Amino acid sequence: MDSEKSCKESSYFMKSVFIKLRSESQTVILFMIGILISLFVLYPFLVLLIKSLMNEGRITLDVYIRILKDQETYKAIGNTIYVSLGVTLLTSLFGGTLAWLVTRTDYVYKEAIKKLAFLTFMMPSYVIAISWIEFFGRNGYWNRILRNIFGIYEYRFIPYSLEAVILVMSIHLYPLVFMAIANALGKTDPSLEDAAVMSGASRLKAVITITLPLTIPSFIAIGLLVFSRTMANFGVAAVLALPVGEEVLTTRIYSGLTNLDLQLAIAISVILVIFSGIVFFMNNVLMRKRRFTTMTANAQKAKLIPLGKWKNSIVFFVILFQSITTIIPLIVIVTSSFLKRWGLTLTLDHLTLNNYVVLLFKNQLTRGAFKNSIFYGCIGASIAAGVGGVVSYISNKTDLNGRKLVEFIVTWPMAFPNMVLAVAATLAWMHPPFKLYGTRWIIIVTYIALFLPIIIKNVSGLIQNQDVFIEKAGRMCGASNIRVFKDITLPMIMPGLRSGWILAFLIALREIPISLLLYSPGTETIGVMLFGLKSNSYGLEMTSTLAVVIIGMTIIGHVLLKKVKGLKMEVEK
Amino acid sequence: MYRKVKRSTLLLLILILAGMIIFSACSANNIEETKKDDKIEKAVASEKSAYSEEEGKITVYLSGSEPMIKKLEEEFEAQRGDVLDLLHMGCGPLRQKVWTEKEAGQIQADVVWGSDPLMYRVLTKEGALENYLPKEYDAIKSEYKIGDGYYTLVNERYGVIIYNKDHIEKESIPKAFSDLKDKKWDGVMVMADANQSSTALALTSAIYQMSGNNWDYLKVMHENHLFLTKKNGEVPSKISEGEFDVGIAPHDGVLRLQKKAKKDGYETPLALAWPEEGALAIQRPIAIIKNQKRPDSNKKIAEEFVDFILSKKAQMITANFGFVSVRKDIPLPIGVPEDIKVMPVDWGYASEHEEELRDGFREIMQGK
Repeated sequence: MDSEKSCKESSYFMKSVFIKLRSESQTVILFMIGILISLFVLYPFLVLLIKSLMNEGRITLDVYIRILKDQETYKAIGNTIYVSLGVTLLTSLFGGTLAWLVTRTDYVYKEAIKKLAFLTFMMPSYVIAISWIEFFGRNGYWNRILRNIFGIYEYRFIPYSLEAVILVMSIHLYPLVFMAIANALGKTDPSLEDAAVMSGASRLKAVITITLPLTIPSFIAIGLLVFSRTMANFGVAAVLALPVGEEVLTTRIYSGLTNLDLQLAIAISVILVIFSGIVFFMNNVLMRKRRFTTMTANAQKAKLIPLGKWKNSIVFFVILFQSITTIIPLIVIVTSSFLKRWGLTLTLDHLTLNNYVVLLFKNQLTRGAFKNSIFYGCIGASIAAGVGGVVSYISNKTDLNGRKLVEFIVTWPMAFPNMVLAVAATLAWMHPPFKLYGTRWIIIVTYIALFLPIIIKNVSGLIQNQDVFIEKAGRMCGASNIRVFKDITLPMIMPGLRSGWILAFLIALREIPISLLLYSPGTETIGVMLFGLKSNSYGLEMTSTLAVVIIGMTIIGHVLLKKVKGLKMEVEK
Repeated sequence: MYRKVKRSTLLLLILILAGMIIFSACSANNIEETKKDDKIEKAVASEKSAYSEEEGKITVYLSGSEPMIKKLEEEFEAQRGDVLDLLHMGCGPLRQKVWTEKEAGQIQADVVWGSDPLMYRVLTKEGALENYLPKEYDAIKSEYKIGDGYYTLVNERYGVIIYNKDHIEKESIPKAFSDLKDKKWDGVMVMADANQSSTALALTSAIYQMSGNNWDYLKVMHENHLFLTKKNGEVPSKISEGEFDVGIAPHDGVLRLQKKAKKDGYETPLALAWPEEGALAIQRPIAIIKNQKRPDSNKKIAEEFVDFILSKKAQMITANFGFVSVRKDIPLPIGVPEDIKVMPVDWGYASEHEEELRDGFREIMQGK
């Protein structure tokens, strides 16, 4: 009763304030963004938080005290940090090196690097984990090679460990770093580097003291994304670490949910949010102490650094690296998809096309599931790109109070396993006036919350590198804020928006927990179908088949997108 | 100018946060008040089910083999028309979805079927289930007549030893659970994780009781580096794929995999060993969810569906998919020995000590 009255009072007061502020366009935009973010992110989160604090009608911190006394919590935290740091360091090394080779050197097979990195990026982390098992497992292809060709029968390598998680996640995420750093390097003026060389510095010193610092914003932004994504990842840890008794925070949360202990799951999720917040604010503190300026208007084509005597060695190692991270996993899953049952020997009588037939034609849900996943993915990714782009702009290019807080709130879902987002969505959207439960919109709304952090992190590095003077020049010519955003800022961040959209869409194609907990008859997704296939006594061969189909669809989609873009450019000419 | 703008935007942000907190508190309070006051419950709860918005259609949440579910659906709707909306998921997600909806105010399903008795005992205690005795209740064997009408046991499956006969010589085939303590199984044993799988928790309860209400048996399993899967269906999968040699899991998945291998034309190395201590019996209940807003016609359909699942025809279908019937007049599935020795599980004990069992399992399996 009292709560209803409070709702009305606050609503009235907000209306009054809104009327006063409507003449300020920036404030109005922030207000509208705030409403959207509150609906998609803050409201479900606060419902969840209040739930964790309520025990038999009174507010208490009992559940937080309980988990802070539990030694298992600290072990899970330690494991989470270990894995996340490991992945962040490895991906920075892999992605940064490849980005530098592609943008700043005369490396010969640049297109191959880009295409193979994108291909790796399109493989779900879960699928890379599966191919890891199929290759290195006790009956895996590597062991069969050792056995049949080299006669080695003693099996020693155990493919399940925290280190396995680090390696698989690094393979999955290094393309993000590669794309972000390549974008940043592409917009950095190489003449600064040339000036250093003319002043007597060696090429290596110029790279270390000029180019590397200029890419720090992108390294930090994408490193934050990688760290957060790894912290929040559940699938790989569940496949490669949990089976041998190694737990991370996400698997701990999952166990809490499975054991119907929602408060435990929420409390640990809050810990993840706190960690995410610490990383986020450390990022901001570091960034605030430096000023980054680049003039891209006069950027010349970069003078490529010759690799000289190192060329052959570098080519060899790059090919080796990308073979291990992209080609071998693809060969493994394609091979497995043609087996009647994974684990059978590779002989003609054990091969079949039936896995594809079952997946694409016999399953009654296939057509509807693909259609739904594509629809939800497009809607969710598009809305997230729109909102995320504006949030990123507000956060980095305006003087509005609370801008960093807005960005931080939007990135909260990154710290939550998808299962917790699904629970939050259930609790939040079960009742009028916002009853979405049982419709497709609860899935879409939850996808938006899931996608927003991804969009923002892809855009942040780019937007921070943009010189504020260009915008001011636009305003001095009489353009409005909106015009400046549309004509100057938007083209600059479009690569980030595009890659973020693609990433979000890909996640929608293969996501399982949100779909499984929130789906209703008629709103099945690929994830729900994937789950159904597993319960039909299929094994790794069917998982591999689905992986091949998803990757194939993604490649086709990407090619079509490029053609549409090319067509548009032709029209403009 | 700047100062005014800053103060205004700051005030605006505070208001947004405050509004959201109040609004969220409203939702949370609604959830709490739903349990206390029927009037508020009537105001808050939807007049219609979220899914079956029309009369004449019910929603069923269930777990189990998808081909079996499709066959049962076809049979029931052949008699009754298009009256079913089925949501199929695993035991864990099923439990999760039901429980989350209950916390949110109202379970949306009309009927829930699958998993194990632990979930239904909790739901009964919380008053979430309708009381209904199926028409052919008397056809059930007496040992399966539990639940006092709030839920009905309709199928049974047995936790047994599963092994890969390509990797194990005949004289080494384990004949009892105690055989698995041997060091020769180090690193090649697999079982589902009791903290991820609802059915695995039931198996863990059974093993704990078999061991004399202590953890001795599972401690030895951990010393043999027992590998833990997400769900029971993965246990026979991983054994058939050559990844592991032996495991503990329900028998029905093995029977289905053996059938599928025969149909697809390859040899599967999967085999069952029926342990001397007795197979661990786990039943699959069915129940009608209590919902005062449900139209009478839908309630009738729900009751008919429960009757159908217990009918001879449906029981024959489920037996063909490896499940053991609770009826007196249905033969055992092919592959289940006639002289099978069964070890019953004390579900009352398991229910009361559920948290201890889960925590104990985790403590052992994550220890060094």
